[in-house]
Amino acid sequence: MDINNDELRRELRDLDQEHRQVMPRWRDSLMRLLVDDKETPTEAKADFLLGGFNRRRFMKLSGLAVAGGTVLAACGDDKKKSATGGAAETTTSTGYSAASKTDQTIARTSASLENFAVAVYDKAIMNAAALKISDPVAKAAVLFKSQHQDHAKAFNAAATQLGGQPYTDPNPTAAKAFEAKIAALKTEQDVLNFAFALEQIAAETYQGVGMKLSTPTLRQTAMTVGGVEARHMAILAHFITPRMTVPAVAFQPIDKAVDASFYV
Amino acid sequence: MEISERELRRMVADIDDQHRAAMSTFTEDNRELIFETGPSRRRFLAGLGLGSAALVVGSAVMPMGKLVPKAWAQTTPTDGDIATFAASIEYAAVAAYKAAAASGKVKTPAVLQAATSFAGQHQQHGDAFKAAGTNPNVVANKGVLEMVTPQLTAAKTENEVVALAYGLENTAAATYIFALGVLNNEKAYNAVAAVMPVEAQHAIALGFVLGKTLDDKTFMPSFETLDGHLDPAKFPAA
Repeated sequence: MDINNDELRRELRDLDQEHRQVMPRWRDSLMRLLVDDKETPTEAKADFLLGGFNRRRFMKLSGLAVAGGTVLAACGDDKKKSATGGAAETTTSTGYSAASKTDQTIARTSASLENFAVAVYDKAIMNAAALKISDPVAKAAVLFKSQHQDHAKAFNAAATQLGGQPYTDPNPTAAKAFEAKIAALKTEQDVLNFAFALEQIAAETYQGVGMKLSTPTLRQTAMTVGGVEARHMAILAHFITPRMTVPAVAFQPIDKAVDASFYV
Repeated sequence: MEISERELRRMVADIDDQHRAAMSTFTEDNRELIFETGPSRRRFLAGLGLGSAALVVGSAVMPMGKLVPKAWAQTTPTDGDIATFAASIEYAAVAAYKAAAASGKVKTPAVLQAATSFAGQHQQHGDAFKAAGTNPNVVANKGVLEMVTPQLTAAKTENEVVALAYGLENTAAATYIFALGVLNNEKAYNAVAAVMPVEAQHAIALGFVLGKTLDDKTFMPSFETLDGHLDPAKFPAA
């Protein structure tokens, strides 16, 4: 087969014209995604550029970039946080994958567990006299309640940034499961043992959800709280008789972590 | 002029080669661009913006820029490299606890028992990290030992020795929080996430010995932090 020179020139000219039309848009999209958009997760950008190109992926990401999706800003990233209105949130939420939905659920559930812990400590503080709670234990309860409030705020900020809604009530499954146990608390030791169990559940939950979360940043954030719950355990153990050894083992297990039935 | 099919194929092949060469660079350039925008491995390596030029355990300060590893300065650490680094930290902790126990400065039986127990747990951590790492011959971190050993030698009381261990445990916890921000491998994540809370609990136990109170943020912070974490660029695994 031979190709006529004129035909070749014409085809090359057409190709060049198409190329010139497409490249500015492609470049603009890249610039918008990589330079202007500070909020799209790094992993998503990496997946886009390093994982190969296809139209579906491009549409998904460019949609996110245009919507200015704010993800993970509350999770340890000190970049500026852009305000998102309802529409932008909807777009972000829709644009994100099932992984992002899971991130939202875990953040909300974590907030709900923190709210539950706040409620339990609050009850103990309010009934300190009847429960004969000593001054050092009361001081610890007040501090731990305050720290759980901080954790709930952090998880709710993350849930919001991930496109979800904050969860401000105690976890309903936990509240129901432990209702009788809470009603049966009569002494300081009862409270300490119950609080220890709650802290253990929280510490192991934040460890256990790790690989269910979609990014290292989220996993890191969860463990900045999980480590503190583990410290709470060790302090509570100091007041429990007979004295408990904490840590009892070299590796924190996750057998006390809550399962999906606690998700909110 | 007319072009033969063979010539056309060669031209297309040449263009394709150029395209591939350009795309290769494009990919690498963008990898750089992307991973410089977040808390990346390169940032993990460099310890950017963390004020981590020096590590303080007890009272000693590690000089900035010491022991920057040539290999890691030029490449990005893998999850396996990070696990190996963690193993070297654990083995340094084992050595420190053993040296403390052998120093004769720790006299309270309960404290001595705790030191022995913690050393055993650090040994287990080190072995787990070694299994997840890239170097089966990893040993105690030289930089950490160089920093801790003189402090241990200078310690005059049991409390000074315990304070050194307390700093080391908090440093380990902070280092693992740092590592969790870059790990993607499930095995490495599971090992680090299971160990980090244990180091924090070691710190609490030692803090009680030191008489720490709840208002001490190194003892009972609201969130685990990166404060005082070890930078693998400055404390490379051997």
